[in-house]
Amino acid sequence: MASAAQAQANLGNAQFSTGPRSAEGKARSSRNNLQHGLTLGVLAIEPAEQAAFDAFRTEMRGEIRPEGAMVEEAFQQFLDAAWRLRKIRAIVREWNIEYAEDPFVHPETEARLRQLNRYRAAAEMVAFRAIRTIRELQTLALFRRLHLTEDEAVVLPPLVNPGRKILLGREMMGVEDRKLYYQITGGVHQFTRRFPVASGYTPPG
Amino acid sequence: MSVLPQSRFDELQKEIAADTQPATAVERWLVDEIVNAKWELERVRANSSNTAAESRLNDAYSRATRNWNRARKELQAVQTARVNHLTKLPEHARSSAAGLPLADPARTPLPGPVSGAMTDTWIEAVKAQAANEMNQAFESMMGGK
Repeated sequence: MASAAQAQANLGNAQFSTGPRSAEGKARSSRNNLQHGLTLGVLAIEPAEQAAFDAFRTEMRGEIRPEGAMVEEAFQQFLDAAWRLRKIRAIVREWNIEYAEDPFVHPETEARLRQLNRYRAAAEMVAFRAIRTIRELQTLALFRRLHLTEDEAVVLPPLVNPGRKILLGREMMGVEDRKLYYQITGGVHQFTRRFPVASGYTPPG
Repeated sequence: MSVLPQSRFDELQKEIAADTQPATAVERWLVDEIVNAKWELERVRANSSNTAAESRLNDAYSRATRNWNRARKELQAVQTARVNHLTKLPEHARSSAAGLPLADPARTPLPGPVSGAMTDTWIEAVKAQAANEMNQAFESMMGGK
């Protein structure tokens, strides 16, 4: 057990060990407990990977062109999951070099591979779902841009696909035809009768 | 069984890229998923005689086939959308679709050319439909009495 003098000295010395002070040091120590940076929801990018990640993000953003909060969120999820998958593959590739046997069957990698596979399954699911979501949201946005009148665009919430509601018989009605249809049938509410209009609502225009 | 050589992975990359011809970053990412799934399937097959690892190989096989299918299906959808941008969009709609590269124009059925002119047939159809609805309402009201 430490003597009173030693305890006193320890207390004094502890005043000199208050952890990192610079932003860089704090950032480094925040990753002290990071094992692989694959836990969902916490995308940890090593400083050495930052440039590659930025290039990947820029390339994907340039091509997917996420617009609006919903597509942007799906895009972030995709980016996050795709980057995780890349990291997981790098780890397995190292094992391939390290062991003479395939990591699939090597006894030493069994537990680690099982854990890694859990992360991988989750990341794969998120990545594919996000791409599908972006496709659906962009298709819906295109539909609305091409087929909705201004009134309809205001009345129908952005995530509603009104495709089925502007059919007349089996024919799709054009925007101009629908304007006419509203004139005959009494306005845009005819179109939105399946969406109850709140009392006090003033139709646009 | 030893590890499959890296050269086999490189071969797969070339073969699958030639088969699928990815043209965008998203397509290349999906092709990469297909290559990795195929690589895993080959590794499982190469180790299939190892009965001690049967359960692990089983899991790996089922995960890789699922991923291969998922990536193939998504790649097909993304490539179809890209082609539909060129073939299914009329000239006047192209600027609307420019900022929506993954949207599939074939899933947004376009009306025929919109002239803005009301055709007699169309008016008759609307009137007939309205009359029909009124008749039905009247008949059900009378039938109810």
